[in-house]
Amino acid sequence: MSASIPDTTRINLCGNWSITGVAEQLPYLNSSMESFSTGTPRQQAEIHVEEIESIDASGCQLLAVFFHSIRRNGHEPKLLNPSTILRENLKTLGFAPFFDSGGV
Amino acid sequence: MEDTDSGFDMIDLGKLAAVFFEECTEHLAEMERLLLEIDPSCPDQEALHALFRAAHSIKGSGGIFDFSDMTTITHELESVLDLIRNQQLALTPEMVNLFLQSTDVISMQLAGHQHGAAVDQQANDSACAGLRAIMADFRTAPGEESATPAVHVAVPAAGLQKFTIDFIPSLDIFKRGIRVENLFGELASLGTLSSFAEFPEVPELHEFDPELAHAHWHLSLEAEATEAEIRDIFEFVADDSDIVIKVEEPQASSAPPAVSPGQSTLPASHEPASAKTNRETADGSIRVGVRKVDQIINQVGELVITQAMLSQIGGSLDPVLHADLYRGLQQLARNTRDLQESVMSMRLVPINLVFSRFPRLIRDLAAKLGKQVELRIFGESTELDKGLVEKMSDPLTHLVRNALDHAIETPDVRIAAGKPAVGIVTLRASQIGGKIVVDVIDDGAGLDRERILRKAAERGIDVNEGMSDDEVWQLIFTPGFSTAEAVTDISGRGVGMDVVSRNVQALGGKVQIFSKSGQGTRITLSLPLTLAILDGLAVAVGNEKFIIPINAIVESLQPSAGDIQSIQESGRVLKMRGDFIPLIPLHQLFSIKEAANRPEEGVLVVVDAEGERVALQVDALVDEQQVVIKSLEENYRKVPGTAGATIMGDGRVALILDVGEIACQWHGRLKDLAA
Repeated sequence: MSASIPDTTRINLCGNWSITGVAEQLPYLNSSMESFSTGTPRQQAEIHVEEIESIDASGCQLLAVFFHSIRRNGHEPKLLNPSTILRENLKTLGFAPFFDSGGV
Repeated sequence: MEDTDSGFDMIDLGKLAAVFFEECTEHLAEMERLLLEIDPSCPDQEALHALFRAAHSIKGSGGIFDFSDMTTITHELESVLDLIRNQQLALTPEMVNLFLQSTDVISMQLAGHQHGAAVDQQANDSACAGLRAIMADFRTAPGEESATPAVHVAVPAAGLQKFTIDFIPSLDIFKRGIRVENLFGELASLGTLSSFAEFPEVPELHEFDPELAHAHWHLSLEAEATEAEIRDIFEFVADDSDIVIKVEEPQASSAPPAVSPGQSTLPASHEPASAKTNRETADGSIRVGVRKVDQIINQVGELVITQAMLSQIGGSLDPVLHADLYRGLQQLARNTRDLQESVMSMRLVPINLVFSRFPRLIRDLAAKLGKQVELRIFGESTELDKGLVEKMSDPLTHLVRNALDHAIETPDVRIAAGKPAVGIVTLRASQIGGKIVVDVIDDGAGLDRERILRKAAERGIDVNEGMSDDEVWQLIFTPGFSTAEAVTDISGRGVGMDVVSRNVQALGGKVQIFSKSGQGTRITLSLPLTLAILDGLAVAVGNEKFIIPINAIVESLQPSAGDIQSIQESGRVLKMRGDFIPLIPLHQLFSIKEAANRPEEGVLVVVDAEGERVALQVDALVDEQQVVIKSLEENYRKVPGTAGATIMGDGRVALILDVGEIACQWHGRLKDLAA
């Protein structure tokens, strides 16, 4: 039996992911989750983050929870094009493993 | 992107900034006080810790607002202070000067961020360079450790150690404006940091509040640091219970480790005493804006008026038929008074808020003038209205600068005059009756009567040798008057005493001077305790009512014809227990018709008019009551002899008498009549 190639869904994240803007990101993430509801065929989610302008611990935390939610529904998220600052923040704050394949 | 408030209004950066500016100012004032008190040859360890903590919290808070200029210099300052408090570096008087210079720079930067004030970049660069030079010297000094060998034995080890830190922040840590990445950045600056975030329970996205901290952190730090240093980074951002630090394995330590491997660290008792005290104090108080307090005071003021109104209405009813109402009104009066006292006490602050700036001022000025001056402060806990404290600052600064520049002599002159080389400037505050009295006393040369008269004559002021000392001293309040031979940046432009007098008078106070040649000068500022409400006695004069401040009243009496006499230069006087007290008929002073003309037809209220007793003639005593002071100047214009007005229970306006001014006014009128 050969494994089927999952479909790919692209999600673009942008804007202010620091405490002064993180709450505004939530509605978009929740609506994006509709594509990954349980029961839908397994998909690969490309999460493009190059347009995130700023991010702090609250933003990293939200991003991690978003990834976890996607995985919990049986899909595979992939972080794409993180800026240097985003990468450094994820590393400094210890969130980097959430975005590897290992999951939360 | 959808525009929602989503609870975001909970974060008000403007409010946070206001708190930051206020706290930062307090930290800087505390640092200055500590630096001025510290003895470099034997520094108090707790004071060093307190200095470090203050610098650290300025740096931390400054970082939240991205005030990089402040964080840069405080980082340098903190680094040096850290070495000193860990007894790796000896404190010197030059360092104290540099630290004071640095606090000045930080104050300047703070004012720049707060009000857009200019910042002297050269001063900043100079202070930073000085601090960096100390660090560089320390790093390159070959035997810096052996310089303080005994101390190193006593100090907890700062060798390479591996710490594990479990950080479980409070849920609202993000909302409090704390940047966790900055905290970890600071930890990383101590050594090698690795961090791992985890969720005890991963929340569902649709239920998730991204402004709350759901994550916990497990950190691993390898650093030549002490546990206290690590805790210092979390100070002000997390409670002790939020952080568990463990020392895993000591490595290459030259001294015994502070704690054994694996031991849970820093019990609460290890916390410095003052930090604990500060926290306890903080727990027992909250910051409330002055505007809010003033709003409550105004509302209580209106309540006082309403209560007076009800009392007046109640007074017209039959007390037997309305006994319950009477009891209720009495209870209301008591409750209103208690409430008013409690509310007024909220605005009272210790005068030390002003006094605390003078040790630094005197230190710097004395050094500049080549004089030796000791400052003595008494009564610094005396409380007065916050508004008064702020407005007293400039007059007192003028007086202290004058005392140093003009009054205190140089050491050689003092020794030649048989005085100790060190001059003494004393600041003394006390509450006398309803007044706050602040004395600025120096043991300098005293005012030079001849020079003042000569300078006054040169300025075209009508003076003569027969003038009393008091009259001569008053000349120095003339605008532009100065006896200084040279104008310096300290004083001598003749603006000081004029400003002092005007500012103090504007506050309803007055300035008195007592001076003795060769012995010194005492300048006394007397001010009202509060600017809002006073206890007064309502008196009737004709159809008008006046309020006499209770604290000025000595006694009242109904005189007989024999008690009143006439003295040529003093007009009518009241003979009382062998004294002759000037009698002032208020109806004459305020041109009120239909009032009792003869004193024996009315009542005499004897008052203390700033040291002099005078008897005010009124028709009748009406009632004792609290009155809310309303400014006449703001609503109408200045009325001579009054300190303001109030609204009575019947809705009419009554003038509040300024008995000191009334006495002066009356004496002036008699003088004019005699002339």
